[in-house]
Amino acid sequence: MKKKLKIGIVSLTSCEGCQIAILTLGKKLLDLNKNVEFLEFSYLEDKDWPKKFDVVFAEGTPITQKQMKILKEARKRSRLFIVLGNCAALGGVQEIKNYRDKDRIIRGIYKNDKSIANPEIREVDNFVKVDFTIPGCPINPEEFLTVINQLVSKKTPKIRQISVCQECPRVGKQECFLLQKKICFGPWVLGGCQAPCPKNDLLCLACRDFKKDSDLFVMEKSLKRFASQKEIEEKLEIFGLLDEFRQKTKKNYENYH
Amino acid sequence: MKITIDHIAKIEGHMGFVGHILKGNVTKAKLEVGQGARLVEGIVIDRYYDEAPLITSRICGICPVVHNLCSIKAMEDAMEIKVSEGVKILRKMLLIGQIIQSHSLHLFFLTLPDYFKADESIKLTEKLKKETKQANNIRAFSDSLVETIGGRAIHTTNTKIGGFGRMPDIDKLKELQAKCKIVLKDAISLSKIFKKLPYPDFQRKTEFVSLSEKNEYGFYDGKIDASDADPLEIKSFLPKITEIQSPFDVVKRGHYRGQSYMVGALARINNNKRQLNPLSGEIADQFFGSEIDYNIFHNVFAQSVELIHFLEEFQKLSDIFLKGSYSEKDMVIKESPRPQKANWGVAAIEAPRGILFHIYKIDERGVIRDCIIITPTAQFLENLENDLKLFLPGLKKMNIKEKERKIKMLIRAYDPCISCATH
Repeated sequence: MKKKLKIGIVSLTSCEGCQIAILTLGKKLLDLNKNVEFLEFSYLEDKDWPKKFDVVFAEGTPITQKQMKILKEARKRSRLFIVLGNCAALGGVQEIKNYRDKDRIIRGIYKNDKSIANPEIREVDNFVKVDFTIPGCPINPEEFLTVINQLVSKKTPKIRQISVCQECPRVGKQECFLLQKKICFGPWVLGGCQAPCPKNDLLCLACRDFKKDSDLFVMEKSLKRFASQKEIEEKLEIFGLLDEFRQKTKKNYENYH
Repeated sequence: MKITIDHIAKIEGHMGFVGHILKGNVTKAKLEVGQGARLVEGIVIDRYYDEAPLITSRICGICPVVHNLCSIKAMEDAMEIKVSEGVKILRKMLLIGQIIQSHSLHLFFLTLPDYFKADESIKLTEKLKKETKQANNIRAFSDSLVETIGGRAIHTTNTKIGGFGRMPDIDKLKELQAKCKIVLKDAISLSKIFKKLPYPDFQRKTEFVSLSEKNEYGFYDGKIDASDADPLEIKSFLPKITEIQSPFDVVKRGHYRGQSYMVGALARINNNKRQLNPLSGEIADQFFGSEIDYNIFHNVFAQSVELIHFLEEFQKLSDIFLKGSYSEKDMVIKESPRPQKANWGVAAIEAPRGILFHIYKIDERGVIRDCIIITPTAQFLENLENDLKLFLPGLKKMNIKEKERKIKMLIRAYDPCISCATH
């Protein structure tokens, strides 16, 4: 009998929507059972971790000390380490506090704020080596399935490198948000999500990250024809992209905010 | 004796338990939340009003729709916007999809294995082939319902302040309506298992809080009901709730008039049982007496009854919607309305795990100045801990494995969502 792929799904701080997205696969997920075993997947089992995983998928960002330990331990025990979704890959909405006074924010929420962990939010690859990313908020479960099947047949995981516009019904039409002078990051962002936001009259806020070959200087210049730097940056904060944007366009923002 | 459970699997998020029993007396029974604080109430401050529904829906991946809708409703309250009847019906159907998504996951995959002493849900699915198929049918139906109206199965994109981004595909709605008949049979069939589960006989008096609506089993709108008074408007009710945060506790726990209380399926059944739809009402009557049910394990069966109720409700609402003439003009919002003045906005909605409150203060430019979110799990966490204190001594004679199993069973009966509780 073929050896089953030993999989772990590990969760740090997040909404856990990426795990729930996986569960929407329903029967397709249960059918995977022929080729893979989920040795850690908190929604489906209640057992201790094995010594070794073939692949660990991690969602969320580490906030507590314990989560940091879990993250490092998961990396240590796994041959491949793949991050799931916007939080793990880019920081998630919780990263918004990095651009504000995070100590003031926590004081506004908790009376006993001193005992609550409030680190700057950092993407998982700041702490451990990440081999691959399945992007999105939440992930597209079909991409998860594709990656699993690639791994089962011993291929290197790959997802399509297209832009959100290639799946957007507004492209080239009057309805295109950019033509309407609205901040939409679609042309510069990795597609594969089926464009559920622009399809439903919501701007693309880049939850899946910029496409690798996107020229962010061009993006900035295009958007600045009708939007201010501040407006562009505020939108990029939502899904944790502002730090990437600043780093890639290397500007001096010391006086911002 | 000391019982420590480091991580409780098969609940949403990270939580452990520590219990100490000294000569039969429980000296400690504490739930320890291991989730990091994302400070959602703080990060929306200084942002625009229309970003709150998008950001707060990320509080929870199991129930993003309820945070999204509750946030939208609170903004509409602040801006004094009244939505059309068609928008309300669509939102109710979306909310139904969400409750079914969550209940079916919890019932079948998270809690049922407890009663079969199975530590792997997948092994149980191999044993219960027919039931697994039924549960998968229900889950697929609810995902498809949320996707059809909300634009995506998780983290909806089609909801807006004032209405929707686009009309749902009518053919897909018709398809769902046809499917609902089959799924309803599946839910009724599954309820037979949940009716017969060996629920521990455990009772403790507590307060049950839920929405209450004159003409329906309250879930989208209404006043707030507790046993000690007539239902109150949200704004009059909220002062009775206090949020208590102890040092090191990342959850602000809700107290109602200084006491712990329960929200969720059992609270709704206890308060609004007589408003259940015919099939679910009959099944509820056979199980629940006319008195208030204080056995918290019955929250599981209450969810099973609600699955049936909300499927019946979907049949009713989809019928009204498909037969009615709701024009796109009254439902689709091209440009979001803008706030005209500074104001507070409040809203309550029934999330799968119980009543959820969103409260915002916006200024005249639409910038959020304050935000308070009170989630179901934050409200019932203290009640769960009080139950555990009473429950532990009864486990004295069991071995450690059995003790742990029973403790987890009680915790899972509540269906806690730790991402929500912390947020």
